[in-house]
Amino acid sequence: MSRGIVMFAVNNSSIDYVQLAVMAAAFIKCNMPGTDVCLITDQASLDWHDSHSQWKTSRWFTHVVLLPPAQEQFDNTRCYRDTRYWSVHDRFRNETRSLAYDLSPFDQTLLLDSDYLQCSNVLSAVWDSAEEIMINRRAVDLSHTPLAGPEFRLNPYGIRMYWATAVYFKKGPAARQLFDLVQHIKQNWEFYKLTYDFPGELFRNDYAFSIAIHILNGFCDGGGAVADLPDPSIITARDTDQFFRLRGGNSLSFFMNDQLEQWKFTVNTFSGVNVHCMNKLSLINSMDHIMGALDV
Amino acid sequence: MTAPDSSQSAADERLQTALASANYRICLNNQKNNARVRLEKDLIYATRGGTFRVCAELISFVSALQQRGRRRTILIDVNTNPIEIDDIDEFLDVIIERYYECTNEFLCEMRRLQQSRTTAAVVGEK
Repeated sequence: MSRGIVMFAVNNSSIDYVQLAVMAAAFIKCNMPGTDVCLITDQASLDWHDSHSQWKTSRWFTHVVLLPPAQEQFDNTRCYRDTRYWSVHDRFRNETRSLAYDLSPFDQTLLLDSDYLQCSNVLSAVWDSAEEIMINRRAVDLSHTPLAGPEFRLNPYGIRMYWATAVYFKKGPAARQLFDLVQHIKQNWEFYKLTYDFPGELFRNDYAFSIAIHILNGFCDGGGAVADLPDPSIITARDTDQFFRLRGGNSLSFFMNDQLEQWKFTVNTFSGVNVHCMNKLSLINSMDHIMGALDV
Repeated sequence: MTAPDSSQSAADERLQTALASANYRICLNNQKNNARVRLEKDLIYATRGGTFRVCAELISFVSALQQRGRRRTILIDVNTNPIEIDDIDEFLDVIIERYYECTNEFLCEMRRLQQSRTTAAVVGEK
């Protein structure tokens, strides 16, 4: 059975997601050696990246799959922050994640966000698992405080949220059903937004997966349709935190912003632990440093 | 407005400011928690489609089975799947080795943190 990691990356005018995916692939090469990595992107993002970046995609990805041209359904504008002091609004082109089942070249796929940095090989434990689908529903910030509010439940009385940051699936009827449901939810987003009563206008894959899993579980919270990943909680650096250093290929340091005293930053270093870094701008700004430190 | 300067010299300057104003105790607790999280993740062992958390209980149970002369068994993994273990001796060797390695690393890291008397030392900057 073939197996590998898949990442989606579609650029907007502020963020070179392909660059982020290259960085994530370099972390995988360093900390999960021998793992195949597939990039799924569109022609424009690929062309732009390969003509502007010194890190060409062909070196980092074993497979590159191009997205079919499609009409975008949502005007998904979101705020990208680099700490509390700088932000930009731009399109968030995340609608294609539901195509992962069809586009993945692997029988066993680990679908990862391009800003989820693999500093350990703990996720290698998914290969040949008895489970067909694995996804996390626990996430903590850099101080290990569980994320709350809309990052925990879709609304204060709503269903629990699952994080589409990392999804493992084995091609088969169960995964087919999950991705078909996610596609259906995306196509009927307004209906599900009203039914599940969650705020905001943004299309979020996390929410689409959460609703799909809720349906698969027979409209219950936790019916066993999916299992937790071996890394049971996702450590998340908020977009108000700032990445600043990588050492030894697996030791990440952040300026962690205090959520109460917002002027205050504390240094926090993680070694051998995967971190989901929401501050994409600080990662891209540190690209030279990171690629130099990874040395792969 | 321009994006914050993320060049290494600017990062070093901000590092010095953050270290100067940081609360030693907060940093120490954060780093201890990071070490605990790493231990938890390192103790995960996947085999034959199952995922196990290596712990004293698992080692004792498998060891008890081995002492009773069992060579094969079925273990329940973290996702409550029954996993067939063909060779108990080999499984026990692997989990004991994993336990030793990880707890030893954890001990070293905790000792390092206990001996670090400045914020910079705690976060590995000195």
